[in-house]
Amino acid sequence: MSEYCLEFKNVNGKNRSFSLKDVNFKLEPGFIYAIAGENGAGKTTLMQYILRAFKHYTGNIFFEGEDIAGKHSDVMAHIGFVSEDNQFLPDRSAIQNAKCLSYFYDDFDMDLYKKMLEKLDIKQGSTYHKMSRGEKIKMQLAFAIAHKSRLLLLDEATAGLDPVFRIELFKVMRELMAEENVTVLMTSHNMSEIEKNTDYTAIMKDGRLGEFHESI
Amino acid sequence: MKVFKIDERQQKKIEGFFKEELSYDQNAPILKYVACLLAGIAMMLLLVPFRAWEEDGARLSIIGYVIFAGGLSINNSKYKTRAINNTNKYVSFMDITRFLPVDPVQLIIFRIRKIFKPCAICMLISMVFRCLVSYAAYGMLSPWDFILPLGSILVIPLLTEGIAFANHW
Repeated sequence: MSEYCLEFKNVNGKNRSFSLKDVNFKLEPGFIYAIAGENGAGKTTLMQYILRAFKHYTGNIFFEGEDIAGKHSDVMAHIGFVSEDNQFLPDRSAIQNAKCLSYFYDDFDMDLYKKMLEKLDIKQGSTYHKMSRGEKIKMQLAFAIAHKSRLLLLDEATAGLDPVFRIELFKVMRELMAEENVTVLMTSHNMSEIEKNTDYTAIMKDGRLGEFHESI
Repeated sequence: MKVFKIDERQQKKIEGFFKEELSYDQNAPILKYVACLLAGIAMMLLLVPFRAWEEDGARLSIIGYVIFAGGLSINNSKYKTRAINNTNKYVSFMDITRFLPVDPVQLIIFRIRKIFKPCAICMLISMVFRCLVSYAAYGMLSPWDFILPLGSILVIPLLTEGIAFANHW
């Protein structure tokens, strides 16, 4: 197994609306990495390449030393994605969603999920589409933790949310990383939040990613 | 050339997922009965030999097919989308499972497998009875007694799913 959780090697890609240009980086386990940049810089696009939404690129993307090309379902079993774009069953409660979607995971821990919902103050019976944005993000995070993600991808997860929630989110992530060797990769355009709460930051602009450096 | 395989492990997971999900859907049994009713009406129309209706034969067969397709669509919708209560919005299962460890091609294969058996059975029943009645009434068979059941009850429904399959594959 590779010492790196995630590695992009000379990745170039072009889809209908955007291009990634010569992206190279390696993420070590147990840290919070942030990619900052303006809207339209390519942060979400980069995440979509990991999530295999776009299949046409040159170069390699490795997850724990294995090339992810052609291995979508194997890779996604170990990756948790938290984002406004993530859909769940709209008319099902938090618990019903987990009961249904847990079929796709071999290691889903329902007890841990319930514990996380309680910790994040999400009612088990709340219907997903009636939850606020913050509640949805928390539920997604609980779900990602419960299926034992080794890589957590947070795409603008804290955008537009109150400071109390942001502090809580990072606290939960730090606790998780202390217990398990989880890697977090998040995107944000909020530099002050990134600098205070993450370990390494890189700036993305026009599809090009700079080097990761220690957050101030 | 890309080769697809039926991943039985994924198929089992998808089956489990839908079984659990539909257990919360109070409308699922009703939709099933409506679909069966429509299929039954359609089958009655599609049993009639092509020749019996002369000019109307084609029209009635088309009506039968449309009713059958409607019933099939109602029944299969539970594997495609989920409506959000009290809104006009739908969410597709492709979107719901996009960031999950589910191959979209396997999801479509699951849907194809779900419709293949009932369509094949309905097609055979329609074809056999149509031929029997046609032969008994007219002493001969029309090619349409074979083509229409095969095309409208089996091929077209499978082709519709096949288009979705080709897009994702």
